[in-house]
Amino acid sequence: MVSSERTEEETLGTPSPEYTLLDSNIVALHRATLSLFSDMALDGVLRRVIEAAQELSDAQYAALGIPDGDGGLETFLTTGITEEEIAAIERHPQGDGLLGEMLRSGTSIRIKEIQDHPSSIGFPKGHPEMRSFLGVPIAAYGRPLGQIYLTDKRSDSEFSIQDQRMIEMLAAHSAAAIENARLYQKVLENENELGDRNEELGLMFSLSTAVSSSMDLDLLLKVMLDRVMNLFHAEAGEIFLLEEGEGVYQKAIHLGDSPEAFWEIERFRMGQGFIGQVAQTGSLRWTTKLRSEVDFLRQSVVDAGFETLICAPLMAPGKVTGVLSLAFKQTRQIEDREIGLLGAVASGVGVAVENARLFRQAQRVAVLEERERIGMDLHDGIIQSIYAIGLTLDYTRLQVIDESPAASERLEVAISGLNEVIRDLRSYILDLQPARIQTDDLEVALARLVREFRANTLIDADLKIEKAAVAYFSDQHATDLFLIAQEALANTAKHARASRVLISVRFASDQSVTLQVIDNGVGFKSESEPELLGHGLSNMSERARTFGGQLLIASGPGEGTTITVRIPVPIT
Amino acid sequence: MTGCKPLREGIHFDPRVEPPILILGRTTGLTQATIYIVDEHESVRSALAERLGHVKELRVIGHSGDPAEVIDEVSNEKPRIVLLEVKRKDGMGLEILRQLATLPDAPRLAVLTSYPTEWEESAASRAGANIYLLKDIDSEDLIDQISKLAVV
Repeated sequence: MVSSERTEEETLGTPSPEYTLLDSNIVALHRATLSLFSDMALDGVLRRVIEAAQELSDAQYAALGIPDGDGGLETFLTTGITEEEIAAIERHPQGDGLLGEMLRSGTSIRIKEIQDHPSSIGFPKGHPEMRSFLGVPIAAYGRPLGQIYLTDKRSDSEFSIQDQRMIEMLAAHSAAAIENARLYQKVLENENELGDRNEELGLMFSLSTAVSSSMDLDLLLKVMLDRVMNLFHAEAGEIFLLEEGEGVYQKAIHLGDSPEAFWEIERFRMGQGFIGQVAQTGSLRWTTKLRSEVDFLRQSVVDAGFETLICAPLMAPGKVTGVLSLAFKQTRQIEDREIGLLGAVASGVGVAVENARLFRQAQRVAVLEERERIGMDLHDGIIQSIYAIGLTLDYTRLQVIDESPAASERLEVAISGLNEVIRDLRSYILDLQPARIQTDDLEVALARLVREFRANTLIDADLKIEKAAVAYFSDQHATDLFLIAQEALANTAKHARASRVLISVRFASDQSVTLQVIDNGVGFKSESEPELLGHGLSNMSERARTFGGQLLIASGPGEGTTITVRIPVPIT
Repeated sequence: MTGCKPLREGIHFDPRVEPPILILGRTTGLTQATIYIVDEHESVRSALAERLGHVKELRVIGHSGDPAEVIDEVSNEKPRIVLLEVKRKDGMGLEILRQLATLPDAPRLAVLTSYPTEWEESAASRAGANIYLLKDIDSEDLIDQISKLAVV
């Protein structure tokens, strides 16, 4: 931190760790997840999983256990504990006590005091004292792959439910990454099949990147189904997804031949037909004699000439979130290897579906979420890619300019086409930016903002505006002031857990107007941890500066938060 | 192609005029300005490094997306110009600019960004940027702007 301009932000302190499962956490989670898939070696992946878990949950100690299949632990990796400390422990974790309880139940455990849990058998001699505990299982299609253990949350006396959800999401991603790494290891072990495996690996890789992106669900299903069908040379493929709360699997997509035959039935209840049975049992089912399967229930598909069918469950933690089905016209033998691969792919797609669902849910919960910012980020990413490609083309153009002027010319045309695309995207982004607010509308706009806030959060919000104070703002300044208020309220909604908010624009003195957003929420600590400061605060402070304003924040644990923007008037 | 122009014609944030600094390329004997690229997108950094590396007046001496690495390398290598994308997922763009601007022998700072916003432009200016350019694939114009900046 070099500049003196930072100082006011440095004293702002740390936002409450009790975040809801919203954007900053999702961003952190996605970043952690991407790092998981950057490593193809199993050891590396496991190491990254515990490091990510430790960081996301703010735990002092993190460990990862791999079950040996006999009720014990085969591998036990740790972080946060020194070599010396490890050496001092007389008996290393075997998978009994609390860890054993998790192995048996397959569910997460979150407690404030390890010693108080009925399954706790106490620490072995030489083991560091640990208090709060969060344990989360990692499972892929119902098979336990491992467990994440976190102890001693640094910033609080216990892990929160939000921590638990975050780590559960991380565990879901980890399952895909671990399976991915295992598959990769298998590939390396068997060089003969390398050709085939490369293609499979490509599929797994594209799956894992898709899983960890916030790609639109429909597009993701289409891309994955298309790739799986190509790999298996299937003539038709479908994906059914669970409708939450109804226990019904509804067809989400069909690709390939005979769509009319497949669309004849598009919903299956749990246990009904092949789709319903796979959903109920959670295990893969296949046949090479479709016409003799009485419980298939889809005569139109048989009539269309299909002989072979594989249905695989899309597994998400604790449920079958959908079913993927591939159909072939010829009688085709299905190899074990293919079943294994399809199982792994389906579980990855399951995680992706679940992820997309959680993402949508988080978005719905996110009150006053900056939709426009999300849109901008997405489009910004596209501009960056096109720009990089364009520069490379331009470089290529220079290389060929002497030997092939014609090629160079064509590249120039291509480049100017790309430039057009960039400009289109840019104007699209600029359209997403909030429109300017007329000064006369500032009051109306703030009133609407407060009304929406109240409706979305059920927090009691009041607005007090002195008309004469508002009159000092030009249209641009009015927009900035509105955006500051919007951001401040979004922060309150996300972090404050307040029951009352007061928003005011009034004269503080003859020379200054203030915008204040005061809440009675949990507040935050005053120690300065600038790296934890949200994007939001620095944006607010930057915006305030555009009209000579100053952003001040007063808060303390349990004392609510007051955000004040002081603007000297007349505005220069 | 109209390309990489300053948003408002002729605007350079820093009106102080310094005498030209000429850095002599040891091997070629040509006058080269050293340049360092900061962008969180790896593909953009490499493409820029490759393209600008082709210009004989410029010598790309490094690039990075990591804030700490940027500060380290720029302090050690002392490039004449730093070309930097301020939009970043970690929100550290302006902070990096500020820190670079306060380094001893601070480089000339060119912001190169995917799309413009007024507040970002003025914030970048306050943070110490000398020029604010857009990512248009018009390398000639970009090179022109950077070369001018090198000798201001």
